[in-house]
Amino acid sequence: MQFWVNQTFNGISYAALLFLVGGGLTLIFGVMKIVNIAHGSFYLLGGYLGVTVFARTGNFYVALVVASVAIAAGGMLMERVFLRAVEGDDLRQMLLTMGIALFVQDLCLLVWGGDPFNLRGPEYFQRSVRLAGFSFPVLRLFMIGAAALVFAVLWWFQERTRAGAMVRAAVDNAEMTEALGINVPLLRMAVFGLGALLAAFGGVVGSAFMGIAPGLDFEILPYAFVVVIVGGMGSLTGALVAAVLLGLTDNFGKALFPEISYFTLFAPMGLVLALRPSGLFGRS
Amino acid sequence: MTTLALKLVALGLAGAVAVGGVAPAVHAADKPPIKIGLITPKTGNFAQMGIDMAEGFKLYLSEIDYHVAGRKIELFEEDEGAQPAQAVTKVRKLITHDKVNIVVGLFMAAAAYAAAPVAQEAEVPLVITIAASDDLTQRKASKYLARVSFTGGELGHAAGDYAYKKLGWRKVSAIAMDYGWGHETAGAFQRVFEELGGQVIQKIWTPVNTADFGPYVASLKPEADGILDVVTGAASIRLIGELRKAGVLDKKKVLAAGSATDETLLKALGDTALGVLSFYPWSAALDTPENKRFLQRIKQVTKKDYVGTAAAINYGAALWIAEAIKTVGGDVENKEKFFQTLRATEIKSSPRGPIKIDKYGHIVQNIYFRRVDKAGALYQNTVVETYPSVSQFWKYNPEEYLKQPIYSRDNPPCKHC
Amino acid sequence: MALAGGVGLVLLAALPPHLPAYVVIVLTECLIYAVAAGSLDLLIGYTGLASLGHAAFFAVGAYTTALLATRSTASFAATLAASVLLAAVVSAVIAVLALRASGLYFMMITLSVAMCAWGLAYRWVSLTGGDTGIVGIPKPRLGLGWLAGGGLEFYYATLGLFVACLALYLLVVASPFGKTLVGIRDSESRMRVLGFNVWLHKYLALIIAGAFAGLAGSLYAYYNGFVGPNAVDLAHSMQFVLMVIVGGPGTLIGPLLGAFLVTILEKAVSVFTERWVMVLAAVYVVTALWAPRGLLGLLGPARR
Repeated sequence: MQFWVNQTFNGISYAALLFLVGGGLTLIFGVMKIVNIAHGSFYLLGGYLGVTVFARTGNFYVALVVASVAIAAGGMLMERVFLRAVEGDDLRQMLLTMGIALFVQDLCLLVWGGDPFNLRGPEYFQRSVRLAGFSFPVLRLFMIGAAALVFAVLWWFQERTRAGAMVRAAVDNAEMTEALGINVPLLRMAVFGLGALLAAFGGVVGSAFMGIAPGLDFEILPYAFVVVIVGGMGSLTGALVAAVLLGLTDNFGKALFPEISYFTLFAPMGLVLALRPSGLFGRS
Repeated sequence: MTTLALKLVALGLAGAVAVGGVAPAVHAADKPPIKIGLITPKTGNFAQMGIDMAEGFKLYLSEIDYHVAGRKIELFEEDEGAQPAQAVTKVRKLITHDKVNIVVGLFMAAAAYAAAPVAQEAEVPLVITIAASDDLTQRKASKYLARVSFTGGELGHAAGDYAYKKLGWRKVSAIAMDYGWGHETAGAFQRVFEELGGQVIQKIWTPVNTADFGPYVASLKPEADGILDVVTGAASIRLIGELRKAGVLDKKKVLAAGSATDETLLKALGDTALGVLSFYPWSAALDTPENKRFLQRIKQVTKKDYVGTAAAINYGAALWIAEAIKTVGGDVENKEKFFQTLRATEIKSSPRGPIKIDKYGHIVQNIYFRRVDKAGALYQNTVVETYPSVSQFWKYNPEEYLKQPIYSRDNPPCKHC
Repeated sequence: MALAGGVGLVLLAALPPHLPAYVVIVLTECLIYAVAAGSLDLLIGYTGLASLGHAAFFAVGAYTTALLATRSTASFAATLAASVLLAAVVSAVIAVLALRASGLYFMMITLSVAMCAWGLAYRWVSLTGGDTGIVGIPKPRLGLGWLAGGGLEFYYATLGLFVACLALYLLVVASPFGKTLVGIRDSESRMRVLGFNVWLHKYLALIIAGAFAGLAGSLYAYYNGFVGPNAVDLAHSMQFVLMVIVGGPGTLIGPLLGAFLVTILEKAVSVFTERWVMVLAAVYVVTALWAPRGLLGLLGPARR
């Protein structure tokens, strides 16, 4: 019983991280139709920045906000200066994001060096909460809470606000949306910034959860892609469902069949690709 | 258009030749310099390790003013990167283009395996200063290869002995990274530990860049007396953090391969790693005059609080190579003699202790057992036990040992799992 | 254009015995990548299929060669043939999957295929050696002993295969099949209306390209003496695309030049600066922003 509760909880907390990383990417796909190779770079930069800000201020939440907002701004700048110039051409956009990803990778090495960092966070992150005889680490609880909150806010935004409706319209049909007089370029920039923000947010949280080190940008990318493919490009709900599915599969897979760990991440992706390429919640 | 295209083609070929470049100028006046090629990662995931390696190596060279046996030393540094293919290309460059007398370095095991035949074919000595992989100095040993770092097997054997005899463990759970280093260290540990009467009751192989160790930690068997940890680098921070959070560290001891608690990781590990035992060929806390002097000087260069094992090993490597060059009176061009001498050179004391090379080209050295402690504001790996002069073959007869296949995922098989 | 190509080939054939050994090594690598880039151009440039997973077929060829060369006594020719065949078969299977989508989705799926391939290379430890890879691939017995030993022998074998591939590429491109591919690139709907089996053409293009990629992969395994998951990681996959775009998609010669350029660039720049990754990044960015049709595109009007 202990085993099942623990593993499920672990799986969900891991899913929280996957959602943060994949959610941003799926938005960027859905609205902007860009294969954003630099998504991992947002995560990496966010993580490093979070570590630095935390070291200066001693406040985890300040670090979280500052890093997320800074990277969001950087993302919007990147969209405005670089991506807009090659709008419409998938291949060129992808090459551009690859170049930026490489640049950020080397930049981080220059600025933060090669040693790994661990974001300690507030003292209570090291503790666990005892509930009904089970022990739940506070950090994992925070991850789940944060991701749930993010999803709730985004969902409300998408479904209940005018701005959200515009985003949904842009996902469905960009040309029509523009024809209706909506400032699509501004929308795209904002969405890209939002995607970057989510990735950076994930980076700071991830920094506390598993540390930050060179290489994590390209290591985290496959995870993000799996969430997007399985959930469906452009669907936030899909990203959430996919993240939970994958988090649980990965966790139970590792615990029950450690031999095939990592496959448990890619097998679902392969299955989805074979049976329903648009993903669980995607639109063909 | 055609002319332009022609120019492009010419440019392309010229570029290729430019890489080959102009032959380095030769000073006819004094004796030509001894050329040493140092190849370490400078970009990619292992860049910091590479920087540490280079700094250690160059520190010694600067102490002897880049001069030995009346000749100047010219150092060619190359970037191993994070891809073995790049490493091999760079080794080829050092040998064929820069015409170095000796190639030193290499971090990645795969790079070392791939570069060894290249050096062998060109008859250029290759001194490996980090890359572990057992077989390079065992079943795949080659004439011109020497290694002054360590192997998983060498460390694992000693750890198995220590766990049984000194820690009193009888049942062990092993959690190791699923690649050469993990296989060889855990395999060697299991062999010695079980021959003494212990049992390895669990072997968990984790992918190299595992993000979440939660499920693995949760599946650790409670009846184990201790845990063997062969998870290195940034992943070690995750594993030890998870072990601490799950309360495992309160109930059991962890014996880790030293790459899990290397000085460069101690700050990030913080209090979570306090009490973790490890085994490695060096510790910054090693209380010898040579080590203290080395630490003082390297900290002046790096301006960091922590000094990693990579720097110490490479410093020792430079020291050892320089000794060998002195012994042959600077005559490195006589390849046979130089390499024989290199292999025969013994260093009585270096920051890590004595250095001696065995018949197969691997170092025989002290293995230190350490414990993570806090000393003031900084962390350290306090040395609690020393196993002197450990051979890569432990106490086995080398010829008998080599008849068995290399340690891998399934060798030795997990009889008590 | 043909004259320039001819001159280039003559130089590649005649110069090497007089060039430093290291240059010959670099040129060998350039040729191997040129074969791969050419095969990708058939897809990106001629068929309009933005395949981001080409490294997967390259890797199938590389690993097949690695396994055969280290675990059997198969000859060079047999190993090469097996690698090409297996790469073609894998292409055929993947293509069925990939062609269910188009445009951006196609890109994503091919990228995912490459990731799956990487995951397999990385975790199927018993077959692929996992992170360590497969080492100790012996140099192929080529029987050209009358040339100076070592790098030159392998260089000329590679050059020979390169020329053969180039001839085949030109054949494909000039054939009615090739012309149809271009038609599909320009307007699928029009070709469908005209009665062409668009799916079949794309399918065959993917298999052909995959087969050639497998060949390049096989040579790559011999060249390096080992294969690891790096051969199929994201950066490597992207590199193939870069070579095609930098050279000029749809020109065939362009991507071949692009392969030379990118390979030499990486080697040459790292001599001067440790920040060569940033230089590579700049190449990606500059190409994407200002030279989307590549070098050859800059030289003349778009060849449509």
